[in-house]
Amino acid sequence: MRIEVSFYGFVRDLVNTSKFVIDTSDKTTLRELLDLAAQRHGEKLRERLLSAKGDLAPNVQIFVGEHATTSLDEPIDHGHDLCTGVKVFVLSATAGG
Amino acid sequence: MQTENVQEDLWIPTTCGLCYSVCALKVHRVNGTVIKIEGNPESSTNRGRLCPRGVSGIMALYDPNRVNVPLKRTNPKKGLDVDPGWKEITWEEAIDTIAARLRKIRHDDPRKLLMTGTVTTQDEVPFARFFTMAFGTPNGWNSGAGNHCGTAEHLYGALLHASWAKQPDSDHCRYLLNFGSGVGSGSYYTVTGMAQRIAEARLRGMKHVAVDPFLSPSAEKADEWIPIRPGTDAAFALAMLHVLVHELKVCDADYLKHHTNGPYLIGDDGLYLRDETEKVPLIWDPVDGAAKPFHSPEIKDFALEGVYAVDGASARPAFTVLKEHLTPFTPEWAEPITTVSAATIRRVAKEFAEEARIGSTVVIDGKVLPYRPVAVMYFKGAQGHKNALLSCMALELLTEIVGSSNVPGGLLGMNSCSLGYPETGQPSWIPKADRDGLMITGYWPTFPPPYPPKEVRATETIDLRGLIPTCPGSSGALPVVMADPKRFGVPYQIEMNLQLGSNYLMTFANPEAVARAFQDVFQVSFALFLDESTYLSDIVLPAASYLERLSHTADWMSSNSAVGEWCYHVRQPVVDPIAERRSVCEVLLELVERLEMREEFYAFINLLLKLKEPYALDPTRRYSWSEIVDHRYKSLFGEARGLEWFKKHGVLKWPKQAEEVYWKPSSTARVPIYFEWFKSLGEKVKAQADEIGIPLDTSAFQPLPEWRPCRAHEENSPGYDFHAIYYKLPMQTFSGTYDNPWLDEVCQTNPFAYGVAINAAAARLKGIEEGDWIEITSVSTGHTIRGRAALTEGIHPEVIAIAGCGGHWSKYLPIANQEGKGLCFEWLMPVGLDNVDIPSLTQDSCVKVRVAKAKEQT
Repeated sequence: MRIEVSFYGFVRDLVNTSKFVIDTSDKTTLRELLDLAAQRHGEKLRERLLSAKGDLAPNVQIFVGEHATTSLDEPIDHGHDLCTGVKVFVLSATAGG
Repeated sequence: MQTENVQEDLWIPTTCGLCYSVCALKVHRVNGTVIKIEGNPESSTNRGRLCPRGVSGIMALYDPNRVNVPLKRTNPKKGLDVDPGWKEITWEEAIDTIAARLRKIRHDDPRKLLMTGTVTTQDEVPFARFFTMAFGTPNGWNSGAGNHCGTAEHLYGALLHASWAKQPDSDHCRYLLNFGSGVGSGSYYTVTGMAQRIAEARLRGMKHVAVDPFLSPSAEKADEWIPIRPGTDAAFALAMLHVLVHELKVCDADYLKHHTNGPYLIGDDGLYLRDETEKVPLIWDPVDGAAKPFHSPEIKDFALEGVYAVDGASARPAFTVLKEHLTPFTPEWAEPITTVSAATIRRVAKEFAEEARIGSTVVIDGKVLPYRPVAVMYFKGAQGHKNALLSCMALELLTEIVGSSNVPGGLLGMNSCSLGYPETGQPSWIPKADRDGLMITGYWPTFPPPYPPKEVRATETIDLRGLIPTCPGSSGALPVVMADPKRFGVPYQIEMNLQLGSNYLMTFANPEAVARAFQDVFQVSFALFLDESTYLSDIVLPAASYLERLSHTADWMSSNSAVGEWCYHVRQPVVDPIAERRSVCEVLLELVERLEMREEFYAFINLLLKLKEPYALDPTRRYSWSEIVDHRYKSLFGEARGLEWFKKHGVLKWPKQAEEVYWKPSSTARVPIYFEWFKSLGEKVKAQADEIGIPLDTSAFQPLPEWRPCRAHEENSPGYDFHAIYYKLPMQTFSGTYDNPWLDEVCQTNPFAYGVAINAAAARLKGIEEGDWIEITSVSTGHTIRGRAALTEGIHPEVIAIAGCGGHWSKYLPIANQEGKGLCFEWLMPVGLDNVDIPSLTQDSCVKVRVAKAKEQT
């Protein structure tokens, strides 16, 4: 399965290229995908995206195709096309007042 | 004007942009020139009314001192009084220079970009946030609000009301206990509409009790004014709570059982007792004599009081813990702290308890709802202190104990629940519960909402909000960290500031210290005027004012009144931008193209504005600003309600439903009266700060309120015998409006607007008479400011009060920069974490000063 992963937002300091493509198995989960991304771009990426418990950080939103997901342990192709895009948004905590 | 000369005579609907209230306007344009601005009676936001600022917008539009062309600095030296040596440049050169800088920073480390904004650019700031998010920086600061920000108040807005701000239910409230807020009197949210609503409430019998050091523009309209020593509101509130639960035995038990964490069992470690399987908080069921998960369908009743043994451990309901905690806070304890007599505190508590009418109901829209017609308001005045978190907690608990939160007559979130426009169901948000049963806001205007608690992280941002995630507003730490990021473990230095109209040098604290933090930064300012902060700019761009620009986010969560109708407006140009002025949003769109970040930027717009097909932006084509606004409106309100519809009609409105306004009775989400998670969060903050090597006092992270002295209370240097406070004026917005000639004229008719309010007897003891020039010296900064004394009986004898943000010094503001045009309070306040409430990063705006008659009286 070919997955195009795009990173948006507060990860530009860690991920210089905003997109990369991974050829992987049909059973790949989001967690495994993020592991692969962390191997490429460093452990700080994992820290930015996940909490210490391993959950998705609250300022991170991931879309598989058009569908928002918080499930890191489901296969990415679950319910979607085999060749798909994954968008990872890291939102900034901005001050108001 | 001769009738035969009139080729055009139009009234154009739009919105005001001179504060954060978003009042609806009708602008009269004749032959291309704006000749009058009136309130639009079609909108329930301001109900046809306007404040002096709104009326005076015409002067800002045509002000000869406006920035009309791009400027670049020629003097490399920067400082508060250093002339930048402005040179006119073309827009092309300006954009080229800015794009080159941004490109380099984005490649190097995008976190080095900061964006600063203010409330008068709040329609542009959200769009600029999309830009900075797509750019890749987490750094933003609404510094125009600066120390005026509600900060800790907003935190409790999220935790208890699912909203950014709150208002009393002006339709049903009968007792407004107001700790220094300007609600209904010329400041605070939905200002002009609320002024009328509060006036009507008083006519139908609502009593307004103002607890305030100064007989302020708000307090002077109250039925009773209770002068209090600044920074001691929490002591007053704690004593009231003591009277309520210990002396009068008053609380809304039904509300506490079903809508708060009052029944949750607390162990000896101060944390919830949790069940073995689900790990959710336990309650005690007194009927079955057993502990049960808080959401168990088997619960027959909730115990609020008592001590229980659960699996060998001792546990008490949170309400019991709170009640015991309140035992020592008697009115007699509070009297020497607040200077308010114990008898007065007791009387107010009794009035409050009686008027709360616990147990009564009212029928609204066919629904039987609890009727609790009392509301406790506060904002910057009570919370702007070193003890902000715990003070706000005490004040909020008054509302919670009597169950007057988000029910008829009580304190209402603005706007906690939206079921959307009937034809589309958008925009919609509803508070919900987390696993512990506690409320998460349905919507929050910044990101992320303060609850659930965030992980404490290393200092990734320049404002310490990663380390201290409970700060919801303008961080008082930013200038401190900016000045020395390495000390705080921030692995980069800010290199560029995109400044959207924020005059931060005059809205935070000691301008010298703030200037030092910013002077090495390349600053690009979108400016209406060459104000003090533009002295530090490298490029100034001529910004279009609210009368010259189009916006899709004129409205926001707190721009609609809590009651009445939903109103969504357009902000549209009533004239073409004059000279070379341009809309910030249009400039940002051009920068997006130059930086080749369209795909990312559009992705953020689609995500954050929830633009779905067919209104989602397609990154393969470029959209104009007006097309994006059109997509936004159609996405919310349907194909027929696009930009052209809004430009013609100005406002889309529909009635609020009872379950939107009074949402609490039907909500399963509970709110805390015991802030259990503060304790463990504080421990994490402390551990992380220790690791970085930052000495932080995290002791205020605690689950129950107390009163702690501010630095000013413990300052006893001889001669420094006054507390200086500031308050907001109905005719000025922060520092941004002081050069307006009409507002200047209004201020000159009021001796307090530009002068210094001082107690008449206290002044005469110092030989000070009405109109004398006086000098005010801060014990904290050593700076001295001058103003004319305005003697009054309506101020606490230990206090002087300074209005707004006058005292300008920019040579480009010829009206505002004259001596005697107000004082810049910020010179009195130090910059430093020891002057900040750590959990909320609130700047303490209470300072001890020496006051003396000036030697020079001219």
